[in-house]
Amino acid sequence: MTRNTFIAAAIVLAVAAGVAGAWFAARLGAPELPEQARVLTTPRPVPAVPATDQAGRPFGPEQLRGHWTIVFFGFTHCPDICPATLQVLAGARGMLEDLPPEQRPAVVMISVDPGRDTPQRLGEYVPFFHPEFQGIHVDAQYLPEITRVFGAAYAYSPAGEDSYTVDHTASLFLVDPQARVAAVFPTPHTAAGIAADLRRIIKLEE
Amino acid sequence: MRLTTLALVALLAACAPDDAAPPASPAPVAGVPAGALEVSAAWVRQVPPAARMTAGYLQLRNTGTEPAVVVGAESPLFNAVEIHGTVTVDGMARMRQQESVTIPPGETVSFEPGGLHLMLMQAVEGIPAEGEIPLRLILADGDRIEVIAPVGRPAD
Repeated sequence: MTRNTFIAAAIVLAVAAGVAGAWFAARLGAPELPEQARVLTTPRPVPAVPATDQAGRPFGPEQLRGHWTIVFFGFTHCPDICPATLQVLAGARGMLEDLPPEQRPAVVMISVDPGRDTPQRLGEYVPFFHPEFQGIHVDAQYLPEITRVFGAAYAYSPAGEDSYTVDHTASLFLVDPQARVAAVFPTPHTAAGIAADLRRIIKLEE
Repeated sequence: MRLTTLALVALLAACAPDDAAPPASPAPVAGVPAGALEVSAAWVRQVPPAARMTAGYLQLRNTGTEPAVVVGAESPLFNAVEIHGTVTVDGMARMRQQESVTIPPGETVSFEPGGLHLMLMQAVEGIPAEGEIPLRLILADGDRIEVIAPVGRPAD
């Protein structure tokens, strides 16, 4: 066997092994990568800052541990994007009802308008879309810190007389059971897309 | 004007809606055609009782030969109705009032979630949780188009 023939044979064998390996991996149900969500290579721990849920209970890393959580930054004086996103999330949550309870994601909307969105007001708004969804009130002075960790942004803009609207990141964020920001779902969002990617991410973590 | 129209159309085309699904209860075509503008698929989002505002969506098709310009809207059930557009740039959603919306001849402009919408504010007696909401589109040439928009949630 000449040296060149040997190299050629080795290449053919390597390619065949690779194809066979990929085929077996696919047959064995190798974890799929998410299609839309961007998984962070270094998950970022959610900081403990003064925050409460809509019932006035403390909300922070302790409450995020042990389950997946989808986080959305929004506000209740928001007629278009926020209710549309909450509606999509309700659809996604409905598609995940077959998962064991500990794998079903919690869904929270952290208000970027803490001045107008009291916990009580959030409680009257967010659960309308799904009874288990929660609104989170973070004190205004700590909002920059928590949004920075998520990689979210918000800004206030005048809208009409003595009113304002809030520009805000419309991406969705996935917090893992270790209370770390683990993935980002960029816009646009669909219920089916979110549900499918969430299943893939949960599988990857197993 | 022509350039503005083109720019607006380009802007609208760039608005990727988060959820373009039709409402759960299909909206009958309820517009009374005025001139060459046809209204279809009108609906208003069902929102929690605590909401201070909601949004109306519809499709406008210009079957005529001249551009149609919508400069405003009103409703007997709301003291303030404005045309707004949400634009999402680099993941950041920005909502701004629009002075007008131009529908070029032969074109359809969609008011849909994540894009253009009629912002319905200052409800006279609370935002209806069901039923139908009468809307009136105001055109630059003075025409009015009456629209009946059922309240619903988009099917997903």
